Amino acid sequence: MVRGGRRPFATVVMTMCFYLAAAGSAAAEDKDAGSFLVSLSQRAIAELSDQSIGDAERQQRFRDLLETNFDMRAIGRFVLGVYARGADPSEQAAFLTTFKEVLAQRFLPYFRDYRGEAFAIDEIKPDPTNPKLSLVVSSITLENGNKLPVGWRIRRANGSFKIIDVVAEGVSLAITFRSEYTSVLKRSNGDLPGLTAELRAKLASGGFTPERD
Amino acid sequence: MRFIRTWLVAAILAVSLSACASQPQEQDETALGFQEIPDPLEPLNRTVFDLNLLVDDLLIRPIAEPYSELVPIFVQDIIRNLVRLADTPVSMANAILQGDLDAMENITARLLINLTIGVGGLFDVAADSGYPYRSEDFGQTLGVWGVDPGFYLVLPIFGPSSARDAGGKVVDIFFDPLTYLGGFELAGIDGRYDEARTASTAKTLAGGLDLRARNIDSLDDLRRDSVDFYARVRSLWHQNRQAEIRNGEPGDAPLPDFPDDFLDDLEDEEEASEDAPAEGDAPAP
Repeated sequence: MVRGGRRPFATVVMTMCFYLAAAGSAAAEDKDAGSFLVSLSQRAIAELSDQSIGDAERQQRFRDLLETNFDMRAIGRFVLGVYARGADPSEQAAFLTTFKEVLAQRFLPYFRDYRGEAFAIDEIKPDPTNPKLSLVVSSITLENGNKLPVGWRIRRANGSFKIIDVVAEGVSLAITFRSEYTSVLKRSNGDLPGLTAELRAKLASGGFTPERD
Repeated sequence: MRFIRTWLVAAILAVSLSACASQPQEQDETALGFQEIPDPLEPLNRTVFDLNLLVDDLLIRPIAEPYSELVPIFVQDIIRNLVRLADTPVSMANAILQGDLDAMENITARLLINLTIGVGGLFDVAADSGYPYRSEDFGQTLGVWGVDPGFYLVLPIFGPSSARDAGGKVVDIFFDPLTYLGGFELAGIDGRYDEARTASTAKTLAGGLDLRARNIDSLDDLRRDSVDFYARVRSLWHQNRQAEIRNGEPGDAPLPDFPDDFLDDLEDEEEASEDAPAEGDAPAP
């Protein structure tokens, strides 16, 4: 269960969060995936670390940013693997709603307690696995000065950019969620409402909230 | 002789495991693009995984936590640096076998800098001079040579591994000079055998303790927010391992392949539903 001498996963996740936050809104006139990411990062940090707002407002802002800048429908389907096929549309919709809440509970705290980590774009290139996607390689400079490289896979849909996956330290967020969720589904013979209920129960107990020092 | 016989058995095991590893894989039914690691021994692996968690809860963590809190960080760093220094021959042997010139340069530079400026390896000065620590092992070497990981394997105490990497671990024992401490041909003589075993064990224990102590919070987080901790660890381990074999930058990471037809389907639906309300806004149950 130990992962050889690498940065702790929490750091990775934190970085991802910043990037998620960083992934603000795509200016429609901005055709560049890198600029999209930069403006998203600025907007997310500004909106989500705003100390003048309450938790409800902050959560609403997070949901809006997620909805506008992430291809949640594609991600939601991807993480269910083969179990997305043939699943009841209303069950899928319920799962997706819950999944977004999981992301909010998991990642929003990092933005709320934003500590000034810097975000920079290092490289933009076509995604090696699929020319329809762009890969933006960025780095987040942590408080201790370490640089964490994070990759963003961005898809252009209906003229706007949407993030489809976040990759840090060789770990893809989409694959990680998919491995876990499809394992649960496999063991329950594809019981999607069961998975959704399990996630909701964990949400209710605050189980996805990261522990902070 | 007992010593030599033990290693012979281990070597045969390693070779046979590696042979298993190169068998063609069945595509996992959940795979969509990026391949999950096959896990035909899942019931057994889950049992070992649970036992490992139990050993961690009862024994390892109770030592690692006070170690992490009470031992000054510079002492912890020195211990880690010495363990890493002791691993240099293994990394070097594997860098050579991989034909990885960058790794060879990195390992040599680290050795020279840390042994001199770093006061005999106590301080990792090289990391601040552009030569960050990296480790190469025989599992990675096999990976570079094109051997598939085979199947997922949870080892007692050591945790996540694969057929290929468990075999590699055994081969690395032969690359480790500590194994031969006191002379290989004398290794069967009890006194020398103990000496060799003590040195290797001490290195392994110190390395394991250091790793566990540095990951207390992150592992807690991982465990707490999983709905299937076993599956998550399996995935993280496999992705990480792939990245290590590629000596990964994020751009070279094992990206999930969103297949063309997956994206095409989405595009078709988007066009079809342009005027319809967005899916996914249904109320939660």
